[in-house]
Amino acid sequence: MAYSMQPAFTPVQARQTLQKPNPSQNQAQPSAQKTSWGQNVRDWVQRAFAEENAIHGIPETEWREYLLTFLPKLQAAGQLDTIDWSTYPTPQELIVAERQQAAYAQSVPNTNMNGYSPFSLSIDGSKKRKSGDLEVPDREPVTPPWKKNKRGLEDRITSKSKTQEKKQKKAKAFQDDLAHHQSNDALERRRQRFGHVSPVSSPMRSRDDTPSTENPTGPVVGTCQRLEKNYFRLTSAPKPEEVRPVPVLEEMFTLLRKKWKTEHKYSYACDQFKSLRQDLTVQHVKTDFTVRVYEAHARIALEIGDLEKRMESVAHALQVRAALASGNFVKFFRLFQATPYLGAYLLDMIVPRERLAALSTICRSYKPDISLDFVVNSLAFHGEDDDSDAAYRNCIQFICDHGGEHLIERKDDGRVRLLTGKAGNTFETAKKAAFRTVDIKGQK
Amino acid sequence: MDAIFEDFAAAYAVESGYGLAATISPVPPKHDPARFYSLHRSANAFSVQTELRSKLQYSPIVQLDKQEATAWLEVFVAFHKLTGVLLSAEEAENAGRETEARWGQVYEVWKEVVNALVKGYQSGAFYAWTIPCLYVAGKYLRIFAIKADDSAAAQKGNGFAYGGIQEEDAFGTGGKNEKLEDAARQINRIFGLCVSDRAPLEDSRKWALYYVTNLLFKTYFRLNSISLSKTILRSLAATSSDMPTLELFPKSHQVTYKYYLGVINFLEEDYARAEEELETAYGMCHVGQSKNRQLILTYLIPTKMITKHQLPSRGLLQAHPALSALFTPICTAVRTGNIKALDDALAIGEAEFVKRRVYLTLERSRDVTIRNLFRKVFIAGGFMPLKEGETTPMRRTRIPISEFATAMSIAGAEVSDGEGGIDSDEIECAIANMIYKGFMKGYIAREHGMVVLSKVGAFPNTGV
Repeated sequence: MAYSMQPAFTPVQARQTLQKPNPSQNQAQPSAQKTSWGQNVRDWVQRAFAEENAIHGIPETEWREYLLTFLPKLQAAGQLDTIDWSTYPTPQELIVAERQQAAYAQSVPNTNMNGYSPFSLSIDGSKKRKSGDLEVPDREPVTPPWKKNKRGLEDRITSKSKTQEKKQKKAKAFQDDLAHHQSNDALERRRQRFGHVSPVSSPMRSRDDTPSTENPTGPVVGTCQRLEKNYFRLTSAPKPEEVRPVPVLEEMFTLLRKKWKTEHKYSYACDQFKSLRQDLTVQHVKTDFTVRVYEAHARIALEIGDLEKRMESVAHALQVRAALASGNFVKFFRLFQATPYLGAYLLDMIVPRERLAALSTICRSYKPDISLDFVVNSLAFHGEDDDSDAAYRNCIQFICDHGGEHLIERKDDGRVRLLTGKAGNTFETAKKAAFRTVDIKGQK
Repeated sequence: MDAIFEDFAAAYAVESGYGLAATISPVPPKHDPARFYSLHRSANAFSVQTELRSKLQYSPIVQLDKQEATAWLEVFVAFHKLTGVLLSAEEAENAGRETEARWGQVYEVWKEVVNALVKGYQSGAFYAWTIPCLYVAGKYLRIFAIKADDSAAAQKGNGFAYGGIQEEDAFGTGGKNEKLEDAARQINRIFGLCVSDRAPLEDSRKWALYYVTNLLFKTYFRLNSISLSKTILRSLAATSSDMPTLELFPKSHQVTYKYYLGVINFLEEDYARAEEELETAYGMCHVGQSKNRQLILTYLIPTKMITKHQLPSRGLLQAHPALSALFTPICTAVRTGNIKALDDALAIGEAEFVKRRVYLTLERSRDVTIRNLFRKVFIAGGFMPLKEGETTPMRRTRIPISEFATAMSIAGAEVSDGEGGIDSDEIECAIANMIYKGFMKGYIAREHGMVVLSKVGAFPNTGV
């Protein structure tokens, strides 16, 4: 599970505009085109035409198309005068930056960083990013090839029709942008908290920090020689000078275990283990050493554990055991319904046979019959979404499955009864069979 | 050297297995407590070879053939080495320098003695009458292993073992019983050595089987791997056709074997079988062996509470103060139907009960406790007015569930519904279980909130 092929950081979009894009802007485009541009803007466009600024792989037609949507939008947003056009990246550079951004989004369909659950693809997350990618979400004059790719990938992941997707996108565009805004602020604060210098205010510049020459998802080769390192959840590609190579990590691992033994500080150990694991992941180290690091971390986590949570579960488990030992099925099924965390799945395994055991007891002791309500409630039969009819149906199904169909009788007044007096050994036999298949000591 | 050899020769002359075994016991005989010192000082590793060889091979008393003499020589050379490490370990311990006592080394050297012995038997050099030597071998394998593990654990606790980073040592519990686990394997080898002997029964090592089996049980119990005992029982069963019957073995072997057999069945909740084996063991156990009788009773008392609903008599408990402390609170609670007192007694004694593996069984006495309580309800209900033609009054057999609820509440059972009332579902569940398990005869008429009990024998085997 630790070996996901995803990079171990969460790509964070730099905000492109200060205001949320307004769909109405697009309608103003034709008239905007007629307006005359300022000299600084024209100089900037001139630079784009200069030969030394040409970028291989981006034909003139493409970036000119880009300009046609880019400039009117800035104008509509009233940003033309706020930009220092003499240093602003050329359209070609902007496209390159966007491609990288798109490549990130494509290769990182979910935002988990430790690779804990590569299977839990966060569909919403990837969409949010996408709406951020596209400056004008609703109107794409040309779909560049990488965007086509991206859509293809998403289709494969989400298996949603395009119309469906578009609908959702529209509905979410506004919300997403808000969320984006907030999360960016929060991220910024978080970065500062961790002593990271806030990236230069120009969003374009921060993009230039990302290594553009190599595949951003490829392994990093660490150069950091420090042993200890506080854990920081990556929000951009890892920097080699902050990543420790394996020999350093091994040394740190040894030190960490020594420290754990002598000092027993869980928060420190946990922090260091996390940074250890992160450095391993970003360097794509998948050796025995990796396994040992993960195992060791898991073990100290177990040792110290989330003690409170465990105590709660343990207390519950002990109560369940006591209820089972004394044959107190009323208590057992109540506990079953109040099981914390995932314990219910464990109990699910024994619930059928405990129901049979309880039915045996009930049929032997209640005479001449008993209302089905009582059985449904005492044995915790339930349907989906508290559908009480479904609970009934499940209960009757269960009784029939174990040869008790002749014991269910609807009385004249409409009440359904279980004829316990006529049950004989019906459930006793079924119970014995059930306990035989799951042979657990002490449950004879 | 001379003393040991004299003992050896004397025992050999009369073919006394136990006498022979005493010469390789790592505990010096009472009449000669300094024997190991003199043995250790009188010879070094080399001189012991030559000196012993001439004694064993050319002694006019024992007259061993060359093969047997060589085999014994190996045993005693190893034994001489053992006295060295044993003495220094004991010295360190007696001087209060426990951490310097190398019990691990003692165990390893004792293993050399055992290996030499096993080799002697394997090559056919030793007679079957010498098998008590194997008893000594196995017994001290276990004892030294436990000492070694204990001192290793103590040193770890002191931080002495933290020199280098050993793989996983800080996190796991692995290696806690390292030597004892090894000892179990060695004793198992001895078991194999005996069980595979094809010689006629009069001269067979199979006579050692029950002693070695008991030793294995003892070791497995300590290692908490009781399931391994089943493997041993299976091999014993497989060879039972050409093996002397249990009755022919020494009584001490029989008692111990029956005891373990009883406990194994007890743990598997086959209480009928457990009762049988434990009662046999108790009956055969020497009256003077108070500790052993107490061990047997530790399991026999809970067993009888399950099988016969029988509590130990006060006299029996008084004879064994330790057992009395263990069981009296529970017995009183059961007798009086006091559920709260039972829960308390179980909670207080939990650690000890779990250690002795009787907790889960004692927990079941709850049923009898509730039965006794309900029986009181029944009796307190009194009699029905005499009807025409009746001469003997009938007990009231229709009892409201609420009366049982009140009784359970008084007895301190946890049956509150959390809102100051009584949870009648749980009361009904308790009654239903009583009926289902045969403690009570009758049925619940839920619609009427009544329990209808049998007119005859409502509480079987209790006189009402």
